[in-house]
Amino acid sequence: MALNDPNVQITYPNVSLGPQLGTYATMTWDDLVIKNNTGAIVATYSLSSNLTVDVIGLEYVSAKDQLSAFDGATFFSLQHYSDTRAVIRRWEINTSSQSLDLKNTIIKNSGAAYKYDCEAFAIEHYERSFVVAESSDDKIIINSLYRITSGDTLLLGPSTDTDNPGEVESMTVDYTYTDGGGNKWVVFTSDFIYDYIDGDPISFYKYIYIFTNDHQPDGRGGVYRLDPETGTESESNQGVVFQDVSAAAWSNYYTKPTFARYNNIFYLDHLTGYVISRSHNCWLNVEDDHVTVIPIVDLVLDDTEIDKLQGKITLQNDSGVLGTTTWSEYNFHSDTPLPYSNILSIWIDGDTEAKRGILLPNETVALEARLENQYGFPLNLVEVSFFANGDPGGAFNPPDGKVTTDTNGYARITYTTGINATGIINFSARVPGADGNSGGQYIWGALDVYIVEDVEIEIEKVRQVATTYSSDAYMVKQLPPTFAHNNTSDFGHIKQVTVVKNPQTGRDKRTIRQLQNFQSSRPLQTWFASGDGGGLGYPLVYPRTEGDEELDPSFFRFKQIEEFNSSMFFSQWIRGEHDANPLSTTDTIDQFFFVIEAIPPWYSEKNPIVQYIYLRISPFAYDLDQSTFHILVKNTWTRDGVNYDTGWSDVTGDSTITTFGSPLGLQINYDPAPDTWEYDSRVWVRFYVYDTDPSAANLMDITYWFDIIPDFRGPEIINHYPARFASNVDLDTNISFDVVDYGVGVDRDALEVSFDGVIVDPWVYTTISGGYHYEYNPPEDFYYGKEVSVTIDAYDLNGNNTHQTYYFTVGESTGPWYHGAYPLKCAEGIVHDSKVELQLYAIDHGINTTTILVKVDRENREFVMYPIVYRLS
Amino acid sequence: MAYENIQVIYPNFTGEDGYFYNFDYANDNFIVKTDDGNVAFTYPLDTGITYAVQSLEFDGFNFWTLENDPGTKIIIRRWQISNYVLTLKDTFIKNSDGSHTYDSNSFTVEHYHFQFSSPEAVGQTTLSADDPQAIVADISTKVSSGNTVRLGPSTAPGYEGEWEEFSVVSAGAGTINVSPGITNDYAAGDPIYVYKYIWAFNNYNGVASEGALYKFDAYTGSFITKFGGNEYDNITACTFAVIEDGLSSKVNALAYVRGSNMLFKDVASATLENFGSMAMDNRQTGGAEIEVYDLIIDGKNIYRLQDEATYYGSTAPFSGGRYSYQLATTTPFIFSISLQATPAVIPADAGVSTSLITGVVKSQFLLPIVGKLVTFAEDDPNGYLTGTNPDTTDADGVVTITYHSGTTAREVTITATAQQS
Repeated sequence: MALNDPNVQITYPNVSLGPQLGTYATMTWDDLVIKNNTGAIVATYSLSSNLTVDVIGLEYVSAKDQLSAFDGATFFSLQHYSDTRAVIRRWEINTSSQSLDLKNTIIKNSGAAYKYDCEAFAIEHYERSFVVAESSDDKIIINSLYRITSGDTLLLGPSTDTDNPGEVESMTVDYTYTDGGGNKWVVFTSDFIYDYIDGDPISFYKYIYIFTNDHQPDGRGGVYRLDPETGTESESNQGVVFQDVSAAAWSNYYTKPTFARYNNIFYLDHLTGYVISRSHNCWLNVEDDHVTVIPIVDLVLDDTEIDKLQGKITLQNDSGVLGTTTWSEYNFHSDTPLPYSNILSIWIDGDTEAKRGILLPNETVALEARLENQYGFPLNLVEVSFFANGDPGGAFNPPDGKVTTDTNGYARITYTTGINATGIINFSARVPGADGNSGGQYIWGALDVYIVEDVEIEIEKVRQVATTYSSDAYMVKQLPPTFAHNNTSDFGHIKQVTVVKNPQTGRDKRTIRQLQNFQSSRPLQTWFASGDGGGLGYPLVYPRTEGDEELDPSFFRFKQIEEFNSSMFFSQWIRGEHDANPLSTTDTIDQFFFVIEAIPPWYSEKNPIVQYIYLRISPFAYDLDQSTFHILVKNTWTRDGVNYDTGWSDVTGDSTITTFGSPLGLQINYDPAPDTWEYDSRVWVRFYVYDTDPSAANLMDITYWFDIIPDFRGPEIINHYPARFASNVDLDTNISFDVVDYGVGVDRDALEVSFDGVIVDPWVYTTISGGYHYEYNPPEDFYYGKEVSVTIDAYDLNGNNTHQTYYFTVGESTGPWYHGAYPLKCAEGIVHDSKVELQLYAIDHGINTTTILVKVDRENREFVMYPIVYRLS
Repeated sequence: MAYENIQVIYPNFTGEDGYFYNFDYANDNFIVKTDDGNVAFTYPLDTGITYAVQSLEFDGFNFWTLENDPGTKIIIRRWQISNYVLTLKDTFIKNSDGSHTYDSNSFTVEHYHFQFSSPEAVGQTTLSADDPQAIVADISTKVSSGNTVRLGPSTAPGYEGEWEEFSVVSAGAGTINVSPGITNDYAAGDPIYVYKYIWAFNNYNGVASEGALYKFDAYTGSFITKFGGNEYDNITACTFAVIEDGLSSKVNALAYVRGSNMLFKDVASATLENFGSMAMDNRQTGGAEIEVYDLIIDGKNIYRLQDEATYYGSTAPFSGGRYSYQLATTTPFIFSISLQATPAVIPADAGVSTSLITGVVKSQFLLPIVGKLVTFAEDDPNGYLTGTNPDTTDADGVVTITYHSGTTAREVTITATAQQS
């Protein structure tokens, strides 16, 4: 079977593995159809609940490669109900009723945080096996505990034990452990009932990973991790890479969610921030025009096999020529995650050689090639064979044209062009090791270089004149080849006007003084001379016949016959110019001003966000019928590549409508509520009204638009605490302020604040009307007397910035004071050896004891210092 | 037409070493193509964009895009490939205002590729640097505090392929100071990249409807200055590159296409002097100009992105309405020969009268080509040529020969053939 022959032949855009070895499953509205890879139907299971919307994603999560289907074999389906609703269902095969029974339905509607415009999903699932035979127990030894956690449900079987062949049962994990012998144990919350032998399968699934084209807050794509039973979102990530995902599946080879976007397959690291861990370039998922992507509508990933479900296939032949086949149904184009030769690029290289693609004969050029696998990584030690076409005399070095890639995938060869080389030389290179599903055994690269034309020719004419001259020499003129007219009318007998101008008199002694006599290859109707002061022009008019639209310049040769007074004669080029008479026709249209005034003006582009609509419309001959008047508006805009449209709204009832004049005209004023229009949007206005023409009322129906300017104003920063330029601020003050925006809104996370040039965070925010209240609690108090410079940069969602700088001053420190001095001031009668005591106090940072100086009788004295201890009772 | 090569849908491209990059703004993809049009790789964007990308530039590690909403704004973005995704690093939106009306279809980024002049080890903060092209003698004239330098990829043992970015603290004539110290070893010759300014060809000079070349800070997007003039109007293709050949010396130049000429600007000169001008063959057979949508200069190759091309006297569009490149080169080749006969009219007096035939051979830069063989021929049965034939062009690209008259009154055709090699 050729690779482009139909294979699995599926009608609906969904496919998964089937339980049975070598089978695939696809879901219609009524059945689960099991097929083999030739398209033959192996089995059909009726859906217990018929569908009304196509399934666009299907995943099989139970034991595979079985001899037959079995009860409990589990599938998940995805349906795209609308751009705001996705439905995920879980199904199980029931072999006795030959049906697929619906077990669970998760309906996901778009909400404030999560949007469900989904085309693809993957189910994280694993297949394990029994290490030893087990019989009715509450625990088993399993080959791997990876990703098994308490509460998981494991599907044991189908069993191949002869006592209960084909039986399966679901068990809930209590806990897991690894014993001293390295055995990996799973302990269940209850005993299982069937017998199993070593190697029997165990399967389980963990999470749903669903891709959406629209994720808040910025409208980019997203991936959500959902609980497979409840559909509850537990993790999410966003990025354009998750937009336009057309297919997804779980890769048991890389154990990662895997998705297709255009002609790439991405492996998602769901355990490390949802970054892309690997990107697989499907270079043949592009049609043979080299640009049109062939979409992958679903994926089957089974160890080292990738089956891409698609409606077309591009293959290459052994010469690298591409060909695209269109199928009437969906079929597989197989691929593999195992590295293979994927892309070979060649270019001109060289330092000593000619490093350009325009070459001379007998010139040496270096060609470099780089070989990559499907992941963009270089391939080492692959023989590259170079070929040259179009240069029989050229030669490669080494002569056989074969070189081997280095560790970086590069291979380099030199080529010397032939000594008679000319035109184009087509270089190509090939390597073996193409994926067997590509259609050819080689991967090719190609490059054209050009031999610069070896000869340039210029002709200069030397006129040899007779030694005696004639008096009736001929002046010959041929119009330049660009001469053509532009009259495309098909009317007959159009007059074509050509103006032939002389060079200016006096500038060229070969000037034709007068066009006295001439012959033309076209019959001329008339000609006459006209002067512009610098030279003479000769409008030549000739009759033209129907269909003679394209004027062949060769038809319009003419020669002039003139006698010269000069002693010499020579040929003369006459400059020609061309003109044409355009055709026109007339008709009469009654025209009047229906709309006398419109505010904003029609199709005006710079209108404020607060914009009323005022119209003053007048009739032509009869009163306008106010009862028939309607005015409708709608607002459209684009944000982040997403188009929004409010749809038409009839605002006639919200408008003030009065009449004026005779016959009656109408004056309309519509003053919308604030925030009716979006910034950077277009407001469409449609109004219609009939007049009162007794013979037949005339309808006037007008639609126009005007544009609202973008939000260009940054947010406001208000309610500062401490107040701007405040003084005597507490050391432990918190800093707060409000940021509000009257346009598109505050960009909450874009706030940037610095104290004395140092950015500080985190800021705690609370939502207030029109913005946020931000508060910052410094981890350390400010210094006494410090002037703190605060710089705030706030942004709105349109990127408009408000930059504000101010300062506040922290209060000064309080000095120490003394109390309880003994002896008292000016006391008398104190005994001579009396101690001098006093108590020193200070707040804030306390007393610097090293600075205490005690003088008695003007002399420094030694003193003893005791701390004052306050006890709390 | 059989001359298609990369075959891209959108009229923007950049590239190096056989890989061509095309910004698919409709599907938010960054597509890598090989010369034969095959898709070598695709990077999804991490951030979608609204407007068509008019021009795409590559400074060695950043990709830059220009979007145009004519008369309203231009948007310049900086991107890097990171983790298989093209990641947006900077967005500069230049909205029209009372001082400037923005309408630009072509821009480039002034950037320089330097190298480590000696090995540097982990922890080093003063990095030795020089210009491998030997154009920039003093590194500090092109690298200054606040600039970002990209170091690597390294070829030092144990650090092969590693690279890092630093904000420059200061620079000297042969050094670049960074802080903290570098985290990889680097070998002499490992690359150092830096970008400086954005240059955009605007169809307004301020608000006046004439062209201007605008200069913006590539780190902040702020307007620095502009140079007005009709020569900057309606420019659709430009780039910044080392011009290795053809001009009086190797230079860093802003190259742009105007009509069928390429001009090379010295952005370091206060008045934007031209290094030179080069004639190209982007003309239809009828003479009309073929629009060049974007430009790459890589080594001595000039890649012009076009939707049609003239090859060997025949003009045809590239198939499917797609864009491919047409090659030109900065290597001087014979582009024109002019011939002059003095006098042009002589009596047919059997060799008595003579006419001096002078041929001038020039390159696409309109500079004389020296040392090329020129062969003369005439078509009069009795007339004849005297002098060295073929002869070699002199320092002015000039070669002469003498024609002696025949015996018949007629026009005699003198043919000069100049050999490229």
